[in-house]
Amino acid sequence: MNNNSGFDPLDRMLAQPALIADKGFSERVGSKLGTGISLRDKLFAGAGVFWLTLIVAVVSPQAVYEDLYSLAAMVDFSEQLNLLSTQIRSIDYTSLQSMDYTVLQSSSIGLLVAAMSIAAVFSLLSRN
Amino acid sequence: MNDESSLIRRAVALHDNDAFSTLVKMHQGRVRAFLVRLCKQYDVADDLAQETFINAFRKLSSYKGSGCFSGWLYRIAYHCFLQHRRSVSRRLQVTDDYSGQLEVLSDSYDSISTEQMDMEQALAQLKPDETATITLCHSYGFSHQEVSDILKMPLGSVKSNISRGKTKLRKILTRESTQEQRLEKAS
Repeated sequence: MNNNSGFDPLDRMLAQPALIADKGFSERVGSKLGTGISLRDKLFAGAGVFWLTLIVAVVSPQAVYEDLYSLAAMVDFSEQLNLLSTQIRSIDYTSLQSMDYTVLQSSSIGLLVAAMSIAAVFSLLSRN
Repeated sequence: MNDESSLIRRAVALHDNDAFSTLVKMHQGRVRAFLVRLCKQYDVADDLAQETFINAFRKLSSYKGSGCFSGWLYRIAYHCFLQHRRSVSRRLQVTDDYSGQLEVLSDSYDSISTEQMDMEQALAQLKPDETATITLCHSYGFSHQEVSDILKMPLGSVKSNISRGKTKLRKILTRESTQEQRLEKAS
């Protein structure tokens, strides 16, 4: 902090600032703190809820759990990495149609996205 | 146990609304006065002050406790002001309306003397960087280095803004007092 001594008149005047009276300002801010969820948070939560609803509507929660469990047991990451590196090596840049394009089954990808959505919703809920 | 450091600890560690509300009460007078000096419009300054405290509450986890809490608040307030200034297309101008604004403002201050009112009017004629540096350094007691950290401004710029601003203030206040003396003689 600045500890000037020997003020000139201007410094003396500046050192006595006028302060604004509260007049309900703190209460107004306090009331907004409790409900301070931004539009971005709402959109994010909404998207998460949409995903969950979609999953529950398409397949039962029990089936989702079983699928996630079997997916986790099934995925062999070293195999996937090998497959990826083989695919990258085999790309023929002269023609996109010549690509040997095999990927994880679409249902597995969907489940991965669903799992990420669930994790996102839980992280959002735990933050607020 | 309601001293500032324990309130900050409670607000940071527990995200305690009540502790933070007490901190708002402690700091609102200075933060709002700082923003009024920068914005020159009471309503805008009030909105920015609210935004400042709400942003501060959301970013509490990023407060490391290494610096002064009020300095951290002024940094957020200044950032809010800069964002606002960018968002408005017209340049902030000191107009004749500002004297009217100050009359409205005089009801908003805790108490304000004629001397303080003259100072607020004189500060309104400076550039925002000059006002911000002078307010933080001379009115709120931060060192040049602390002001440099708060405003994220090079130390040399802080010093030159203060020096230039004070020279302008002296001229403005001298001109005004000369005008008052002339008016007194004439009457």
